[in-house]
Amino acid sequence: MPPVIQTKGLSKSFGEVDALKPLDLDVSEHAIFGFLGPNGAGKTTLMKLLLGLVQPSKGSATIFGNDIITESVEIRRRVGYLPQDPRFYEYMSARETLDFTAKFFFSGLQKAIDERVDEMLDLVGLAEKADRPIKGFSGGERQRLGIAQAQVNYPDLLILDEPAAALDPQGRRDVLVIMERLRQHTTIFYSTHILDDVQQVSDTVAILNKGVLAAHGPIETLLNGGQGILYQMDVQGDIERAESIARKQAWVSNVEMRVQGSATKMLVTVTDEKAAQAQLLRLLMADENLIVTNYGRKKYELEEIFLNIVEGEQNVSK
Amino acid sequence: MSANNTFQMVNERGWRRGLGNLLRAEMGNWWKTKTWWMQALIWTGVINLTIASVVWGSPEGAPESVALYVLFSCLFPTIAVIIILQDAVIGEKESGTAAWILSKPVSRTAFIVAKLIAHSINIFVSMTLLPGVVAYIQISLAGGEWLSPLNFIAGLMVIWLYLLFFLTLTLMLGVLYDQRGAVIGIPLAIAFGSQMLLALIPALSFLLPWRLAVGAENESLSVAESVIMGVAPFSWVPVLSVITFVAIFIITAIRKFQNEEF
Repeated sequence: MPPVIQTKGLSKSFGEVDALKPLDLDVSEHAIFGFLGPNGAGKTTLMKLLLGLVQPSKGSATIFGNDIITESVEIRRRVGYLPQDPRFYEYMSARETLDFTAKFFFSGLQKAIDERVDEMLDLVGLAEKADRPIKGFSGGERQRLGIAQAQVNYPDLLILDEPAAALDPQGRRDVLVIMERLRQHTTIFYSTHILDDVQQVSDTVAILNKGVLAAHGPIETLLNGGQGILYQMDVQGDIERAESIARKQAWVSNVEMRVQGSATKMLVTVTDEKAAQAQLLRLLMADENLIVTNYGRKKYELEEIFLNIVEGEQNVSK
Repeated sequence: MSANNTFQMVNERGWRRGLGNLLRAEMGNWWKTKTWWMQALIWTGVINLTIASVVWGSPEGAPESVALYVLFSCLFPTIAVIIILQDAVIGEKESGTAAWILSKPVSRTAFIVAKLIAHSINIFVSMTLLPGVVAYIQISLAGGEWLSPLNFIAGLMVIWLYLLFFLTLTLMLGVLYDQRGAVIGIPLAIAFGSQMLLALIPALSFLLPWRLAVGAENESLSVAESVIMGVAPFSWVPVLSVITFVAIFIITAIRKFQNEEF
């Protein structure tokens, strides 16, 4: 199946500043693609490039096979977009805003449009404030309205720039539930700073740092270490012997020992997961001079990977 | 799209994509808010009260009433046109609503054309037509005979053309610049500095809109006044020139807006 979003060397410079360095990226259909990066990493620039709001300096991109420059209107017909700081016409109410948005896509029976607008207002919990002018809305209410207007056209692709940023914990949870629910109909490409959310709902993650794609892949691959399969265990006793046993195995590519108080944490990188599963713990336990108190496959937290990349301590790539 | 079988899709294509919806919104910005009646009230008040005080306030006032009406209905509302239009594009660029709108299936040409049409119509109604109707009655009553309605309507069109010059100029500058200073300053300088400029370079009276509104000293009537009075204007060239400028401003605004980044 062709990717929904495909970029090839897509880049954007503002004068001397490279907001986005050449980027190659594929986003597959029905993915929930989480896009991470610190402020100024180029996330919003990428989204605006995809929507034709800024022009690329170099490279190309397609959405649904349509070129982002020459076929932008056709792309936007099938996309819903939530800007980072959603702003609407303040003289309109929430209902009028959704009606206005819907009419960029739909014509014909007003009743059908009204029903869709009501559905969206219910979805984001704004039904009771539907007829109030937006002028008096809080940041969270604007954000909810932004989420509603992004979905009003049943988009095949949702591009959400920090969808949960201005929301309270309940609002954040609601957004994640909505995203999960929409997955069967829609591809979701979103940026966020909230790593817990990404870990909860995303199936694919990209980390952008200083305009460069620093990591990209299925979230499971990233959380499992990206560069290899890693086992960690706490070992007591003859730790040199433990290291020696591990290093002798053909399927072990690296062993790292970290002394932590009376115990030593042993990190073993393996090339053959099945062999490691079957033999590693058994080999160590077989030695009478060794006690293994904790054993398991190392799983990274997304925050750990993210901070490593952003702080330049590690470069994880697919 | 995934689940839209109950809907009919918008069928506007090319540059017209989104125009109808944008136009409804722009018209709503005038008619669903206090903007239209505020503007109508202000300009009817300013123009017609001033005329009333001149026409009925002094015995010599009546013969000059058409000239004064033309002058007031061109120069005063120009300030409002510039203030309203300076915000039309820059306001949307700054607030982020332009980026939001343009993330929908909308042509950039439609974005500009909708603003142009809505503001042109609403400025005509609130700043030209309503004060004009009242002025027609005032001037006719003061003069003791009804002015030709056709000539008066033609005169209103010339007055509207004068305002359109500043409307389209300000709209274009809003596309070209991100600073409000230039967008407000240039049209104001043209509106109120023209007299000095024409004193230095008289030939500019054929190019700039000034002579649509103001007669030359001891020489001739303004174009609008001539049209209302049913006499031949000193020249039709200023009308053609202003129409050409308006067209250039619109085309420039539309072309430049295609490359604007948000």
